[in-house]
Amino acid sequence: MKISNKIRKYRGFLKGGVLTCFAYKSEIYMWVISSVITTIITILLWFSIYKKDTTITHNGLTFYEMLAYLITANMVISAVSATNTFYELGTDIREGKIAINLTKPINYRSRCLSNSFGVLIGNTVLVMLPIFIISFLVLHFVTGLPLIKWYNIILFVISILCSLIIIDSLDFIIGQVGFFTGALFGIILMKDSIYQFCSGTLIPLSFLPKTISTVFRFLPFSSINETPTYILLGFFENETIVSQDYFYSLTGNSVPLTIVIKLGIQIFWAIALLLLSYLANKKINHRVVSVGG
Amino acid sequence: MIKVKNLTYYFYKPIRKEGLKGMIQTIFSRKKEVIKAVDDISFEIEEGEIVGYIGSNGAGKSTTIKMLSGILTPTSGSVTINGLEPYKSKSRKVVLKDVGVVFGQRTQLWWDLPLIETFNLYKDIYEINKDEYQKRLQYLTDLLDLSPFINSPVRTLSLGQRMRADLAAALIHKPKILFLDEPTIGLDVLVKDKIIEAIKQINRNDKTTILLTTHDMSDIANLCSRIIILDKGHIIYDGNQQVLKTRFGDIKHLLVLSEDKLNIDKIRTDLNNEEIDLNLLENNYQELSFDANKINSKELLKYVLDNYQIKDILINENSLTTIVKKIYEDIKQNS
Repeated sequence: MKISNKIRKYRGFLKGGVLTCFAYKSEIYMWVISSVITTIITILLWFSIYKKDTTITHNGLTFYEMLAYLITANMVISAVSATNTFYELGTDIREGKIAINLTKPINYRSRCLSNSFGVLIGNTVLVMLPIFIISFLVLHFVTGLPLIKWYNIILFVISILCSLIIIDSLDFIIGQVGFFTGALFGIILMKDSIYQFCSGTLIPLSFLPKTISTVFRFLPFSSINETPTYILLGFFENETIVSQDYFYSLTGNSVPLTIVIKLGIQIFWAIALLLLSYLANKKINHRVVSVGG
Repeated sequence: MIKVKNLTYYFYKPIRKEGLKGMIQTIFSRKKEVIKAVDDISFEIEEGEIVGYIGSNGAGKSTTIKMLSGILTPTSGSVTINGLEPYKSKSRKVVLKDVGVVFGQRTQLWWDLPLIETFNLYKDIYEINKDEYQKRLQYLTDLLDLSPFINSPVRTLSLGQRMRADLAAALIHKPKILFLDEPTIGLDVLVKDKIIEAIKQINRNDKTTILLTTHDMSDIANLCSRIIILDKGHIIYDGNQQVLKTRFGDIKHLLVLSEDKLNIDKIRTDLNNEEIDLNLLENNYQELSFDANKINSKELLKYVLDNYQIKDILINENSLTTIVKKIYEDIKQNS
């Protein structure tokens, strides 16, 4: 079968993913509200960390750059983690709906992934982009934050797609644990705390012992949020900011190489985890147990 | 078309004990019991047949359907559909293109989206070309009367609407084989009739081969000439509906409303048959039950009309429900 035909088969799931974003009006409002609230809280928090002094830097970022980072990072993480692979797989298993999915001549993993792409697109267009554009323009005119460059947008798209594939594949693999345990809620808590800890959301990675933080920097989690955000805002072109990066000194103080390595780690993990998730999908058939005679 | 050979499915269930202590023991215990959901069954279904697959709860019906539709891999034995095994990952996608499945208890429709989106999705999945799809959609919309709710989100549909939509979704790609697992569960009489009629028409027009499980014997009586009865994973009957009736007794009931009391002993001697029974029903009818293979109903009817003053008279056939109930009861007594 031609590849274009193969992709066409999953087009409907992509479209469905976009459409489900529009399905519940109140959910859209809640997304917007929670997004705004989270952003405001983090801004206030960092304002106190900067001790109201907008000239000093943390991790090479000035207060305004930090604001831009927080707003963008919040957008990125909300967009890529809005995918429902984990819940869908979980409920499919718990309610036995997985069975009906397996009677279709499609690959269940591809189905989940194309649906997630759809959700990412829908979510970005509907919620994230408007919020981002407004807050970015405000920052641009108030603080003189430089405008976004076109090549950074292209790199950003590659990077955020990698982030999506990483999160989606991890969710798919971990969601399968539901097959043996049925303890979805516990797994969700565990998964979220591991993600937060390893990505440095809970405690900045530099606070951890050196060996552990070094290992974490090579794991898929650390780049989910930071890499696309840095790329979009052009932080990688700013030597003061890049010089704070772990990989900067490792690459002999080369800015371009630092970006390549960070993007490379993302791409590596995206491919590796994607393959793993397809492998996990193969096992699904063996794990579906007969429910009721 | 469909060949099932020595099909067996076992699954393992951890033995759970009661109470908190038992729960903790279960976590660490490795004891499992083997459940033989389907145990060495074989049958063949030809093209265009409608087969009723019945059995009490837990007999192994759904497990069989799951193996036939490629969801479960058999412990041993095989299923082949047009020569291919549906649960093998290589042949799976090929076989499933010719198969439609409805699980009455679960929907295959996209819950949050308008119904039409599910059909559009299936158009892509099954790679149906545009004209053919439009034609088929129109046909199914008319057949199952979907037009009033085709643009409503699935979550807003009533059970009857959802079931009709589910059936349409399973038929959109013109499958050669249709598996129906309790398609009429929880439906009112009108919707049920509509669904039964639609299944009949699909079978007639497209020569679709249909395997149907249900607990509603009227579905079976209306649709299937052939019946397979399953119990505890074994096939206990496979054959014609008519033959089933004769084999398990073609009992008929003559209901008589009369001022006179029927004299059963006299009837037995006069007609020379000891097996005729008499029951007084709650609505004052007196019921004479007899084996239609041994006594001619005309003869009995004439005898009753000649000898008693009759206000009203009816003849009932033993329904499939009573026969199946009798079979289930016999099994229970024997085990």
